[in-house]
Amino acid sequence: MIKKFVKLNLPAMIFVLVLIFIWSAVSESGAIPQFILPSPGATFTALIKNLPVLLQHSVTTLLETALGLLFSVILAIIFAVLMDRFVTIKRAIYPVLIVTQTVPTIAIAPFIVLLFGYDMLPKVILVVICCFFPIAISLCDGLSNVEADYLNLMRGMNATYTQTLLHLKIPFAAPSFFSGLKVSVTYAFISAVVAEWLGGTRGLGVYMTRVKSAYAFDRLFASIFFISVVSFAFVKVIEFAQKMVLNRLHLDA
Amino acid sequence: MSKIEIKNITKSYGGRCVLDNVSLSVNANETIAILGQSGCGKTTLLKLIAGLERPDNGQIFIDGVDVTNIPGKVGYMPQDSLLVPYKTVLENVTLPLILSGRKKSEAALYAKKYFKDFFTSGTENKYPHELSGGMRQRVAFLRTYMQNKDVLVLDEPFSALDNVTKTSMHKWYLNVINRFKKTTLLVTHDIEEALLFASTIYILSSTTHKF
Repeated sequence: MIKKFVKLNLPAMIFVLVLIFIWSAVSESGAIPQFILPSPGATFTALIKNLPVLLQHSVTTLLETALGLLFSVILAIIFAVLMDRFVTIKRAIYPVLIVTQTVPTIAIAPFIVLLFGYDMLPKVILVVICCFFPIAISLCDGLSNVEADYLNLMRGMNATYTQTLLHLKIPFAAPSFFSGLKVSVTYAFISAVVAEWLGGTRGLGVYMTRVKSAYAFDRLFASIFFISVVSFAFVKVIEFAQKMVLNRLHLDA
Repeated sequence: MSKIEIKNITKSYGGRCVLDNVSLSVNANETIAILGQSGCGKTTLLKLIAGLERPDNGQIFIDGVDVTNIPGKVGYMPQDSLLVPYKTVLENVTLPLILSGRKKSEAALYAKKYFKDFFTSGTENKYPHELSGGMRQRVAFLRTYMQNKDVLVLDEPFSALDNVTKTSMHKWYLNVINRFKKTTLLVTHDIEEALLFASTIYILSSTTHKF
């Protein structure tokens, strides 16, 4: 098993090592001043030294992310079911949803902060705006694309829409739901951080703006690394949940 | 009076006539076979009888009542077994009962009585992917039977099975139809199968789409 893991991941590990080596070489050579581009070693030291502070701030960001994701999932399920049930609603909402996704988060973030202040609410709203769409669209497609033969079978048994939804559509749409959720999760944590850049008292985004203003770029790099690790962990948690649920349902991803 | 009366059914898809003025009748507790080559409209005819498609013209009567385009009036078994992969065999079999409003425990108790008669004992807690092709068809048939309808429409129930399994399934099915009398429309493209089960055989022509 370890052999297989090494065989699969060796190319990526070598590539990462090469990147770290280039980063180290550029930083140590002085081509870019060390206070602008700290070496991997300085970044690692800063990460270890500031880990308690980073963890403290990450609690707020994690809470915003979790709340944002939770509301996104709830909203996405409501909208996806409505769009699946009523074609007119789908025709009205689906194109609008697609158009809203062309608006970059970073562009609307200041407006959201202006509207809802500097507390947790605007951050959660921004996470919802980013995460709602991929889940809603994937789930809606999953609900609508259940095999016609299965739907006929349910109709032949006089099933109502709610019964078809519960017994057939939701379980069969689980793979689509999880693929949408995986996309959302990738953006969820970073969306919360971006929202925090624009104001607040706690959170990794707030921490980043503070250390940037203090020209403590080693700590800035450490926080970037930390955010990447947390985002990666989020994706892995969802992948694990996906595997568990789909195995239970005997369905393929 | 006939149990089922199909009168002058016509059905087209995108300008292509699949069934042209088809009429037939089936007596109570009779098994009839509908024979025809692939693509001649056999499945379409069954879907029309099951109320899953709307005919362009014509009517379908069961016990003299017009049931055209009304689903849920017959027990319909599609070509593929279509067992739900995330439900156990027992949950698949009890699905029609649950959908009709029965409690889960009550439905399970009722359905379990039939597992022995349908030679499916021991599969109750298995998942469909753990069953052989023949066993999946038996379970699908039991699920159709659980719909508790007087009329069964079966769409090529044995077509996907190998010859050995098919032969044993034929014996099994003869046993079942002798025990549980139902008015049955069996679609097949196997003439031996039709001769074995049916008292009347209708041949659906692919050129004229008429009986």
